Amino acid sequence: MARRKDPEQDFAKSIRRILFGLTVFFLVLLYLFWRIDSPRAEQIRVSILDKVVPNMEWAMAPVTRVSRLIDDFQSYGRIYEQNQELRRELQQMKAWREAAVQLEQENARLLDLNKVKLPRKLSYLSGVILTDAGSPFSQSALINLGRRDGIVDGWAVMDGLGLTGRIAGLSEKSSRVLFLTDSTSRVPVTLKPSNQRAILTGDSSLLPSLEFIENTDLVRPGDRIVTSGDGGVFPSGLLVGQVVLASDNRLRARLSADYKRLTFVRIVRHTPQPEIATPDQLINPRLPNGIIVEQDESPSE
Amino acid sequence: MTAEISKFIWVKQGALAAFAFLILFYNLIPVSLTPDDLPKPDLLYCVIAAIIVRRPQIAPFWLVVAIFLTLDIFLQRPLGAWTLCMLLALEAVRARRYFIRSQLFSYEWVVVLLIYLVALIVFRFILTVSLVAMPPLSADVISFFITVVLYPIIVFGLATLFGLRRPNTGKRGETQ
Repeated sequence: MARRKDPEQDFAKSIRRILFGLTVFFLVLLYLFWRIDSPRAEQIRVSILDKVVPNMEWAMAPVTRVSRLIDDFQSYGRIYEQNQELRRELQQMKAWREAAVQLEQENARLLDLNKVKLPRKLSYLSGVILTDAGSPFSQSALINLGRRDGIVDGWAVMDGLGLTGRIAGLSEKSSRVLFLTDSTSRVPVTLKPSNQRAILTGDSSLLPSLEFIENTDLVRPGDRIVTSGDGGVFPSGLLVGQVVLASDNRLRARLSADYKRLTFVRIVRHTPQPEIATPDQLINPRLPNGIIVEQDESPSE
Repeated sequence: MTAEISKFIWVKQGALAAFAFLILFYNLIPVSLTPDDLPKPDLLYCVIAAIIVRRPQIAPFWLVVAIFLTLDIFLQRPLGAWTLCMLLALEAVRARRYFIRSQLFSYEWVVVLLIYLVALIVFRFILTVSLVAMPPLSADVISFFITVVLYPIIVFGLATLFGLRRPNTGKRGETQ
């Protein structure tokens, strides 16, 4: 090795070594901070994204538009087949509509008999997806609604049809939607005809698995999945998807939400029902005021 | 002579940063929100490792840290862990650059990707020890093999497009 011994170079080298060591130390600290105080670290991350991402929208929009355009062009090629398919489906739909009308009338009569009190209609906020998470670590997206629009952490996010995820991470102008496909996503659901409870568990695949089903014999592929509302995070009865039997012989959910074409999302404004803390109040006559806290009674719940 | 080189070095470092930004940008565009079918190869590691073997001044360690930390923040990865692994891996490549240059390309290929493999294992080890949920292992394995295949292509591309070649072994003192 023919390398000169230059004191100036030596000095630069030792400076570099110290800086390098400090950097490594800083990175270790950063990771520990992230691991120990995850919510605060994520809050910092979100606030950085909140500053940067909305400014990048001008650049993102055309690229996204072009790639979608190419997708659409590809679909033109199959337009004749699609037309035929749609005709067939329309024919089937007519039969279904007839059935639906009959069911609706029957339902109306039954409701009249029951005098069931339906929960007040849920209201929506609509947002646009800004960016993708972009790595396999988290299946999520950033949307353009934030705290100033009145978004609250935990609210359900839907596309036009089915549940897509939940709000996880809020900042002033944007917030993060954690998809059902993310490996940390857990949602309590009900499988519809059999009324079995399950936990919809994301695992970074397009078909989240259904865990903790009490009796799997009662569940058939094709059953409808709706949120159960357990835990009070989501309102109950939001459509999630259908049960399928995957190739690994586990029950999984085919989601109704179309992740491939997700541009707009709806955020369900939801305030949880007041909890029934003292069940005896429901049975006993009401005691004089001042002894028991006023509570909202809803016989249907 | 040295002043001339250092003037251009800023441009080249800027180009590297711009390339990293391009990769970040590509990852962030919300074209498909489904989980990836085919895991992405680690293009950035290949490019930076190839540069470090040939012209280490273009990718000083602070630039490496800046690039990977930005990616960590934006891509929702655990903060700092991947940056740390990449920094140490690329320093390991840097420390071996004289020796790598004196060998055949196939040797470089093996060494650079073995170091990457070690970094990958260390990264997964850190996350496992600190109980962080990870993407499935199969994705990382496939991504690694694609990266292996990609490395010679990237080296070839850098040589033809930007004229980035190994410095002559005779002039080692000049080119560092």
